[in-house]
Amino acid sequence: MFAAFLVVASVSLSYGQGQPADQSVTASIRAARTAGVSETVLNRLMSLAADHRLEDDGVVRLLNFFQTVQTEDLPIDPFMGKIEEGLAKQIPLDTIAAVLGKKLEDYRFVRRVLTIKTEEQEISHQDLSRMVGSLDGGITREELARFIQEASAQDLSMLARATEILALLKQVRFNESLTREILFTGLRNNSLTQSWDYLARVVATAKRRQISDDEIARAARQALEANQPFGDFMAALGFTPRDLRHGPAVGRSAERNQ
Amino acid sequence: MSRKKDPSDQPFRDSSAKVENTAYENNENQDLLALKRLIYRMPDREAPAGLTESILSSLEPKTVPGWVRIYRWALRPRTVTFQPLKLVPAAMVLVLGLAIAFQFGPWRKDPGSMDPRQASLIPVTFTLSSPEAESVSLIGSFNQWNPAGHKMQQLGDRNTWALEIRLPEGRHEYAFLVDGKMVVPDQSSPFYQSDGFGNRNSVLFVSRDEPTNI
Repeated sequence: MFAAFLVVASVSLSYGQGQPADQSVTASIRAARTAGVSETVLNRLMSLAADHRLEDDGVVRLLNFFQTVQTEDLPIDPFMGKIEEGLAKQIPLDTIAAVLGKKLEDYRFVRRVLTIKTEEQEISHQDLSRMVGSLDGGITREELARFIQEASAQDLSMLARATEILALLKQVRFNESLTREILFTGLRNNSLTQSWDYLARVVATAKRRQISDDEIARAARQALEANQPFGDFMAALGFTPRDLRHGPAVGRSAERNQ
Repeated sequence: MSRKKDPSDQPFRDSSAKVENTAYENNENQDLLALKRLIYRMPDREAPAGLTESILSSLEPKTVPGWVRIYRWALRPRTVTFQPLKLVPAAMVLVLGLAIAFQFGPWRKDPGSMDPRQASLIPVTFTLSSPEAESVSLIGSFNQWNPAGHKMQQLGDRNTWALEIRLPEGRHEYAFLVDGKMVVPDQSSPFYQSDGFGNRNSVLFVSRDEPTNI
């Protein structure tokens, strides 16, 4: 942390010794710091600026953006990640800034919807990001808002998980009305626990095996109503973990080859 | 005991070389010559018996501190000669000793014991079929989208690129960066996320829990 502070301080100092444009970077760093942007984030941004040789006005723009995010008490990491991702993919800074702006609007939208739904209930940055991520996963703002309004919101972590699964099941073209039935059952029974994060993967594999959506939904509903472990749901569909492996191979090479 | 030679018998080098000196210097030289003649005309006497022994016995041997002797020894220059062939056995013994020390020494890393942070990570192997690619890197939320250090290796069939890395549990977004510029999602992953820039990132769920390790 101290090292990060030193880097940012030295960058601030070097900018402070430069031209008027540089001084605006220094001022923006100071303003972002005052707003509560962490030294780690500032350090990451200044390192990126150096690595990708960003112009001063671009750096100022990003710093001011971070200041806004911090002031609105939104998570900065997803925005920082998006900048890193954009630069790695050689996206022009103007485009990155536009994407950041849209993402910020998504965050504001989801928080507005949640405020209406839950009133005073606090939502963690992680759960908020998860819900916003479902918008990038293929569901529209209207679909998300309707789902949140209709869902039980006793536990916001479960609600966040449900929105994520909603988007993922849409990607594998699972019946939308059955999707809602499954998720609402889990939320109503408070049984959509962490292990159900993998529901979409099971559904994708089941569909490849020609298991019908109705059959999958029935097994899921039964497990969620009875608050059974996720493994029981998998077993009900006749799966072993080995059957479900798809995509990047998780686990040691030796284990996979056995 | 040999008879001392009278200095007046030989030319007095200084006085003869400096004839141009002042009268005062000449007088002084004369006095010196006279004094020397006087000394050399004195009768020789034998040293008293036992003088040498008494002088030697009065001299006590000097005791030098040990550290001074070591210091002097260390400072003394030496020449070492050796035959290279004769050094081979010594070198072999040294290498063998080091090998044993590294194998069984206290600093040897037990393969079973891993850094706790590493142990909590789960190995994941990514593959991409891209026979025409010159280079492929893995970028994702787990490496801050930085292609450096995550270059994939081309397998023997020359078609497939692969990389095994260790990831923490959870959800990760990733893509392949082909030839440093083209973003390619993982076709083997059924899930994706729009990146907002017009591409798709693949989505991966990593879990330690074996039943859901899918």
